[in-house]
Amino acid sequence: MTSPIKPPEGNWWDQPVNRRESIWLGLGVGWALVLFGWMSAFTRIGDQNPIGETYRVTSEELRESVDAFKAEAEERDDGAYVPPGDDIYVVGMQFAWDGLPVVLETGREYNFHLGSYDVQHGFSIRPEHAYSQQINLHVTPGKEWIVPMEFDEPGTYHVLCNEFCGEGHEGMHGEIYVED
Amino acid sequence: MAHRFDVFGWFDNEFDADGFRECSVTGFNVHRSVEHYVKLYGVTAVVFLLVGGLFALTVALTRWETVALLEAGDYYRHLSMHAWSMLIFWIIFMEIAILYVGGPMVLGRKLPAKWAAAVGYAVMLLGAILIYYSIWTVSGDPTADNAPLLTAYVPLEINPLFYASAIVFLVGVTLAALPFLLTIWFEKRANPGKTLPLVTFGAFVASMIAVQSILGGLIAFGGALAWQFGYAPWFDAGIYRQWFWIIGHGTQQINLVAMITVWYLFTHVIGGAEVVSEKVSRTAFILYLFFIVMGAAHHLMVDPGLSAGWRIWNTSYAFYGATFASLIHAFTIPAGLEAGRRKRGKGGGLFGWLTSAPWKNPVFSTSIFAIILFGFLGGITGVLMGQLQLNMSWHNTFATVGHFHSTVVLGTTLTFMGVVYFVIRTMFMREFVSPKLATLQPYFYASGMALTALMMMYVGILYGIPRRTNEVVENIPGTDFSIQGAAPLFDVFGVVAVFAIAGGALFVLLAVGSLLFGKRIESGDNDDLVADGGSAEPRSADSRALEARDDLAMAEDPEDPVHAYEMRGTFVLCLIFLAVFVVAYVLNWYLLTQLWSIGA
Amino acid sequence: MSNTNTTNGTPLEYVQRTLRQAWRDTLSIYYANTTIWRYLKSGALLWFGLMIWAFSNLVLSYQPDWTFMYYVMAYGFVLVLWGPLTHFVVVPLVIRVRRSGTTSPLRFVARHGSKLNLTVFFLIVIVLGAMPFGPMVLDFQPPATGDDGDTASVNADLECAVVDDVIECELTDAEGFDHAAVMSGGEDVKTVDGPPYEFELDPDEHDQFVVELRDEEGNQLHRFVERVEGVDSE
Repeated sequence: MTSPIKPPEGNWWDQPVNRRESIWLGLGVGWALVLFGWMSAFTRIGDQNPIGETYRVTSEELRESVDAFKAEAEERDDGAYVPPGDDIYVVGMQFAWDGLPVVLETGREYNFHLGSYDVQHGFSIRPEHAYSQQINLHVTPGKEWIVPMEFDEPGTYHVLCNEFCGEGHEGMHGEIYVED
Repeated sequence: MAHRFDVFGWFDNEFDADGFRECSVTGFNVHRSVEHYVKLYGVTAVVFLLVGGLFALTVALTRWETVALLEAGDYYRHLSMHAWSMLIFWIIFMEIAILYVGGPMVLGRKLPAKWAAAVGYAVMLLGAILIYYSIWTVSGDPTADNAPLLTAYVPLEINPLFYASAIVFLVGVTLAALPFLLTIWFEKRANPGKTLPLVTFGAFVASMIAVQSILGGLIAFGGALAWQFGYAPWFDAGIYRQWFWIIGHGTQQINLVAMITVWYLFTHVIGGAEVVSEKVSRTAFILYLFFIVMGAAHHLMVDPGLSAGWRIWNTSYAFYGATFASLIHAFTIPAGLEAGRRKRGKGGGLFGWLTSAPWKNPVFSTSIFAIILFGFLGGITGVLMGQLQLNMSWHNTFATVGHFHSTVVLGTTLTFMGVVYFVIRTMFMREFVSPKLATLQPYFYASGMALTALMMMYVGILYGIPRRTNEVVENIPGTDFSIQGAAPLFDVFGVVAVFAIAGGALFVLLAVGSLLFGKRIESGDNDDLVADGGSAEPRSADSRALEARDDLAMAEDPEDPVHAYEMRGTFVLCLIFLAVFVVAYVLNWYLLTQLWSIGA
Repeated sequence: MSNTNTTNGTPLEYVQRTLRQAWRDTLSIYYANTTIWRYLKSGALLWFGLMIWAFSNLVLSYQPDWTFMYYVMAYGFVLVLWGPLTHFVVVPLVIRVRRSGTTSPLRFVARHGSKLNLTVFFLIVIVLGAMPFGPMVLDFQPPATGDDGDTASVNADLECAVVDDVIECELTDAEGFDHAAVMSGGEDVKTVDGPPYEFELDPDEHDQFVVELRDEEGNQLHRFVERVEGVDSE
């Protein structure tokens, strides 16, 4: 064995490796393969993947799409939009989520059009009856990211922003009502 | 003879006619030019730790909403100050000092291009002050002048002075690193067939990652400036994030490599460890070098516009190359300690080599706690977060904050505290102003900070508490919804965070106190710092040269067969680590699959 | 010290030998009594206890009908206290008594102290698991009384249009706040009382502005950022 503060003399490269160390190296390689393999396989077999088509859009184009959605959607008494089709919009802006509140049905897949009119925001969503069931996605201006989602549990889902977007960010909140 | 700029008697060691002295603890041939700059950068680093610690207190007492110390505007400014002081200034000033130790000091050379060390220091200091200024004068107008936090995400409107100051700082770092790079160059030219010592090799890898990171940073900050002035309208959020995280994560990998290098050094010098396989350890360092910069994209796992294939490639082939390297060091460092101590008769049974180790020595305990806590808390959570799908449950939550407090605080900062203790004893030649408190402080700090990081992770994963906001538990402004359920855990967080900060304050008091009031050590009085059984004996009565310590010299024999030494204690510990890893992985995945369906 | 990796003997014998060695190692760790061992054991158990407790709460929040998790949760919860208690107090005590105690009651403690300790521990775990109480169980939903936070919802829609080179803005569907303030360059430019909450701005002076909704004390409740380029002309 050698000292870490002295140059190792002789043929240090060919010194044999301790058996337990070799076993550990094998375990490490195996674990790295599991990490890679499971993650890759899950994109095919799993139901929770942050994957969806992204389009380049300008803020004006995005605003027009959201305005068109709001015009076509029916508006309930509590102010929630009932989407005309399967597309809904959740677009971050300083300091609200445009396109919300919206009311959705359980067991139906909707295309969430995620984006931002101005700066970076963090789309953070959880149901009221179980705060622990939360996921987060990132949105940036100039892009429209279409992520399909389908809720099985009814309830009120709260959307917060978890990327700093200026003073006022603390109050950025929106709601999605999921009903049977 | 004291240096011209000697203050407090800090630069007054005796050197021979050529400017060298021999360290009685390590056997290094120390040149005064190297030692003086190590001291300068080290002391400056501790000042930044103090500043960062003050802001840690205000930030923690704000996130603990029972106290809710600061309003939103102040919170974001204080948070920015805390982040830059700790992650950048404290750590990077220390790393320059560590480069100088790992390079010229280990190799017994003079510091080349001293002008670069001096100018680099001045430029880094200037950059730091300018960054502080640009943060502190933020008005908070969301349309014009936002707090930068650490990341200063384009297109948030941020004072251009901020980006310019960051560039100034990076230029300073480049200059400060130059003497180290030149040392390696000169050493290889003078001794072409000779292998660099492992510690020097590690420091060199850290410097190479630094080159990559600095380049990334210059592009990120330069691009942001160009975008602000209208020259690069295409430099959008996505591009900025990509380039920022090359420096953002690259610097963390530098921290990791620097920390690991220090672990090899201290386990050897204090604990009697040896290198069980130069080949394996060096290969692990090389893996870091090649893979980590690509791996930076694990910060972009849930970003729009990036294909799944690219993200998976990046986080796996690239990152697992780096993760595998960490798994290697996780074994070789304790194994080196175990084999080295068994060889020196300090081992007994499965863990005797560990329990008989010098736990009262803060240089040792800081490194060992760092190894354990970095691995179990920081390492595991890092890999979990880096999985494409699991990232959805971690991104921008407070759990992410818990992760990086486990890596850079429990790992790097704790290790660097040990470095400061070591420099105080062996270079400033001062006794600790209170040896009992110095023994206690790493336990105090490590336990407080570990619980704090754990609470951060709990509120983030169990409650999805967001990061980067000052109120979300008691009340979310403008709505009657809030995540009240997290209040009990936050109460625990508040208490342990204050406890941890107190442990950090104790460190600063001990460090500064020892430098100002510690008793001066004469040569040979550092025996209690040395690995068990070692001692420094002068060669002859009238010579100030010292014998290399016997127990350290035992390590200089590459033919000494490593298979003659047991490593089963380390093996058991690593298996336990892997078991915890697997359980955490399975649990995190299981919970994800219970959520609603997401994605194409 | 030589390597003990002998591979003779059948696989079964190897497993038996490994298990016996593991049990002996566990016992020796359990009874290890130096200061550093006490710290390491207590720290590890505290850690483990916290993990088990948190994981159990988390799993239970996803699967509320897995009530057996209350027992796992109780185990972790009690362990946080009992682990350090055992290794800092009970084990050193038992060892000290073993070395010195000769009178009957002390002999009992010496011989059965650890078993007694573990029995009490598991009894407490079972009781708590069967009757989970407040501090042990974390809440993952709003309190049943609905009394969370004292702010009512703040709602408003900010609508702006450019009319004859002037920006006219209005807050519609306004509720939950006392007054609004228009800020530009970080300073208040005007205060808007209402209803109706209407105001006008000169786009040449203020091409970006912030509208802040405030309560009676002037605390910020909500903000809007408006940029003139995004405003339609009529």
